[in-house]
Amino acid sequence: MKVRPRTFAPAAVLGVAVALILGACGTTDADTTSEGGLKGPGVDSSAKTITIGEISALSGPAESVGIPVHDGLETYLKWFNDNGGVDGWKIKLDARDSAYNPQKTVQLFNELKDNVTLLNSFGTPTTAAIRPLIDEQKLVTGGAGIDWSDDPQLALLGTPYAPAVADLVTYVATEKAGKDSKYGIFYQNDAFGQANLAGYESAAKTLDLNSVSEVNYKPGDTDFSAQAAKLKASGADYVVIGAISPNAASLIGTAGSLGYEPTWLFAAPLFDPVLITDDGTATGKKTAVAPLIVGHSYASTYTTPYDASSPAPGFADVEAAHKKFRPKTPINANFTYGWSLGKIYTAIVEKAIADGDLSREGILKAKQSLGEVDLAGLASNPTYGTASAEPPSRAVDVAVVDDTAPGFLRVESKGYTSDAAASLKPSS
Amino acid sequence: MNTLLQALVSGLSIGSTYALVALGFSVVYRGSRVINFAQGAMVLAGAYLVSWLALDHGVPFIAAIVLAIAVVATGGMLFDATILRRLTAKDINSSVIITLALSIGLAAVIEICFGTTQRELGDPWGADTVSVGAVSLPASRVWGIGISILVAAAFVLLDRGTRFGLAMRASASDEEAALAVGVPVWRVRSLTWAIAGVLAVIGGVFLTAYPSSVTPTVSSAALAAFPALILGGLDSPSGALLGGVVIGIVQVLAGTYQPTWLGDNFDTVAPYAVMIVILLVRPYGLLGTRPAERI
Amino acid sequence: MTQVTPVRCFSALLLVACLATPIVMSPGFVSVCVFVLIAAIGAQGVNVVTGYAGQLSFGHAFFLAIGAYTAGVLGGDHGLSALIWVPAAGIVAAVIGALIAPTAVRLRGLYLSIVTIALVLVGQYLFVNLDGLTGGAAGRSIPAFRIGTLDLSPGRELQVGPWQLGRDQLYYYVTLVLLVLVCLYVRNLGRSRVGRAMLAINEGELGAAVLGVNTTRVKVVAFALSAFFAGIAGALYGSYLSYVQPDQWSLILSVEYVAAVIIGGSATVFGPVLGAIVVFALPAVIEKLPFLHDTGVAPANVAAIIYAVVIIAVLLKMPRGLIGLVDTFTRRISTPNKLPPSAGDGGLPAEPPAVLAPRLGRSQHP
Repeated sequence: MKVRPRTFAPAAVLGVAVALILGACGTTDADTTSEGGLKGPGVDSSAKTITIGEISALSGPAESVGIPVHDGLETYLKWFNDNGGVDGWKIKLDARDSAYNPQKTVQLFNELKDNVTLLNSFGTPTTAAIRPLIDEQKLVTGGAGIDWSDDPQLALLGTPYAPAVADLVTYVATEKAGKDSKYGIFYQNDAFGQANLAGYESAAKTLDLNSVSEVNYKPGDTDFSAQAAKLKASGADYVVIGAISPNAASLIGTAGSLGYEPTWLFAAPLFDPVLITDDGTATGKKTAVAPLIVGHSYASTYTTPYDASSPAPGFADVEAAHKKFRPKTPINANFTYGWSLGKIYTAIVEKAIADGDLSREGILKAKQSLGEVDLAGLASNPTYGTASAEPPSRAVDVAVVDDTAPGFLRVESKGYTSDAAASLKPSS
Repeated sequence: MNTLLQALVSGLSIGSTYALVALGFSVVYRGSRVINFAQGAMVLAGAYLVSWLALDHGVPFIAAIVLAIAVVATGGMLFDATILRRLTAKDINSSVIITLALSIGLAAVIEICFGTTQRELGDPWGADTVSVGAVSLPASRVWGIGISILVAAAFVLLDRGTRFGLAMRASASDEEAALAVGVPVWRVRSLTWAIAGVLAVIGGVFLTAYPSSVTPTVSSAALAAFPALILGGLDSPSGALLGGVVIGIVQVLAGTYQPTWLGDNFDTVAPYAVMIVILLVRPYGLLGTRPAERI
Repeated sequence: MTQVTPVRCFSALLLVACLATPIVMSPGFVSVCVFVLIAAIGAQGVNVVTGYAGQLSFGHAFFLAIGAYTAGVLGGDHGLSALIWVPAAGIVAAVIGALIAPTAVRLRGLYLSIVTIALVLVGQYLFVNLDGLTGGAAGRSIPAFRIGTLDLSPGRELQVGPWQLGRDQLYYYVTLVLLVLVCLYVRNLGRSRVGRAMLAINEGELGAAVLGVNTTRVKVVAFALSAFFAGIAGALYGSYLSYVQPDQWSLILSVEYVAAVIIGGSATVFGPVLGAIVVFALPAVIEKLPFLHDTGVAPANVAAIIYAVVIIAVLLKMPRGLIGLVDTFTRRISTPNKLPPSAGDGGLPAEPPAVLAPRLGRSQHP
């Protein structure tokens, strides 16, 4: 019953022959160097405009984080242009929606790559998909929700997941917990959840903690009765949450209904105000899980919570720009994060213009020689140098979840860092 | 021992919602020989509608459920009357694909209307818990078990004890013969879709009540009703109910007692593994009947 | 005798357009085309098992994944050339398909479809846990297409005459060639004994068995062939995307492939290609529409609604799919002298009666 079609065989032979011939032709490296000077991809010298590309999750599962970050970034850039830009140069934002889809991100990257000077990318799996392409282009990329790695182009802000969890667990273990306390972790079984796990395990090992339970779930699961039962059976007193807020709420609620109420630990950016009130604001309706979290939980954060009644100094500009350009969006942690990203990008551009080189190399050099960037107290200042495996920060601010505090977080310790965090390396 | 008891009870509560969803599949299958792949999307639509009415518009919970049932049931009947019946080829594959298309379209419409961020159902039970000894369940889940039993009983009563039930069984057995003896086959068929709508909404309510929430992934939870259906037998409603409960218990037991060599999250896959085994060993399920094949 | 007909002219133009696309169009456009070409190869796989043999299988995502991970292991971990891992991806997937198929095809109709759903879900569970091969939940990278010194890694270019072809353009040509080969194979399959046996099974399995067709063997062959094309498509997809994760290989992906074949026209040579264009290029097209940007509506959702509607329309009104429409149209314009058929007239109908067009599977009792 063999198929012996007549035209197939010669066609196949032809195909293989062509392939072998082509194999003898070599591909060469594309020439990505340019002459330096105030020229480069994404630079429009006549209009004095520099374009920053953005591939963000503006729809899809991560939109509740992606949209505010985008809003913050866009608002900052509008305010920046409004105030004269730098040396008359303005910055344009070309934002595209990846819907948190890696394939889409690759396509969008291909569309954007020749016309942007800097890139803002959102999400761990999406950025992972374009990492080889970013490396090849040597395009300086920053963003939110990106896990750290030793790519010299990545301009990360904030503490990556693993050190953040390590710091939080260390703080709780050394300042709050007893000698015999038991620890557990509930995490999403993907790259982002496993980064949380790495931080937890580092802290457990460094401090010789009694880790009794590590439960995970597949992204997309909605029922956590088995996981809650396991955690309860293990008797963990402190449980790290490495999950996005809907799943966290479900776990906490299920545990509560089993009569199990440990102290919950949320590493940034997983503490979402939507866990406490239905719209995340102080005036919203309290959720059913709020009583199980408030007064019962710690969170680590690196952006300063926004208190409308007595804001920290750095918020003066944020409030002004917010009122002018985006009065309807709430100023929350993610908005502040996006704004801070904007400050970093403009700092890089400013340096590159001062050095007179807006090519890819010029931007990279500017980023690596930036040193510390002052975020005016909105978040811990990141430092950019040439040591590529060093994240901008390994420290976090540790807060208690308090429903009377702005953003529901009352910061107890600023800039806390731990040995467990210091010993961590990037996952790739 | 306590863990086992707790697991069994949790499994029973999850299983009772699977039972409702599986019953929805079974009813439509008996009425029109079609597997309604859009049942999951109807569950999702029901949950979102109840949540939207109860939370955004302050409609009392029961009224919201009734309204949602009206919408979903009517939608299902319309789909059957206008699209499904036009399928001239009595073609299993075509009906699967058409209901799949409905599922895709409906899920996309829901996402456009409501976005993907989670929302609460707005149920009245909140964080209440019911405890008996060392076993506790959220109040919503206890209600879930109770309502499922009631619905199942009502359905069995309908099926065995009324003329409509007889008409349903007749048209499921042989549509042409039923038509010939005067059974209003088209009307019966429409009503099965309406029943499926009712079951979908009720199932949706209990799948998303606290401590769960209304998110787009609920429709894949409804996928777990397939193993329930296969286990019980495609054409047996009582089989669907039994299958649902068994699958729920299997899932929670797998989650609680999973050995490490099986890796992570075997519990999500356990129902399907069971289903594959059943299909190999006893393809027509526990309570199903082997169809006579006609040439 | 070569005639210059409108259809031939159009085909020639189409050919030129296909070859010229990477040179003329933007990299973003070419990128979308590459994804479409790869999807077309995969869709031909679904065409064989569902279009020709009438077995509705949702397991395609599983075999795509097998192909991608084979490419990753052979090409990435062992550094082998694409001349090895491309066919190997197909062969490994085909072997696994042939191993699973005999048990699967004992089930008929609905049960088969449901068991293939289970295959995809169990597959995802396996891919998350076999992290040595698949990188676990975080995913792994898949190497670029490379034969000898022809290396399609990011940043590489090839000088062909006056043109500089970058990565996207080179992938375009590679996948175009492979698609042509696959289409040729499918065309010959349709005319061969195996192909006719598959069509016979599609029309009525019992009848085919009575005619002497070894239905189990033919169905297994159909599954294995389908898995072969899926494996190759998966390997190319992973290679172009350069990074894959287990949650990509979902039921939704399988459904998209089935949708492509239904919409384009099952059991035809070009139907799956047309269907792949509709299903896999649609989100990119929709995104360009200006009025969507401010409403915050995701293009993926609009695309889903559109192709759901198209599927329903095809199944109700155009059982031969879009290719059927094209076919009718070309017949009308290439036989202008024929009188239009009227009722009771002895004139030939403009298109063969629908009864002869292969359907998706007769009333098979589950």
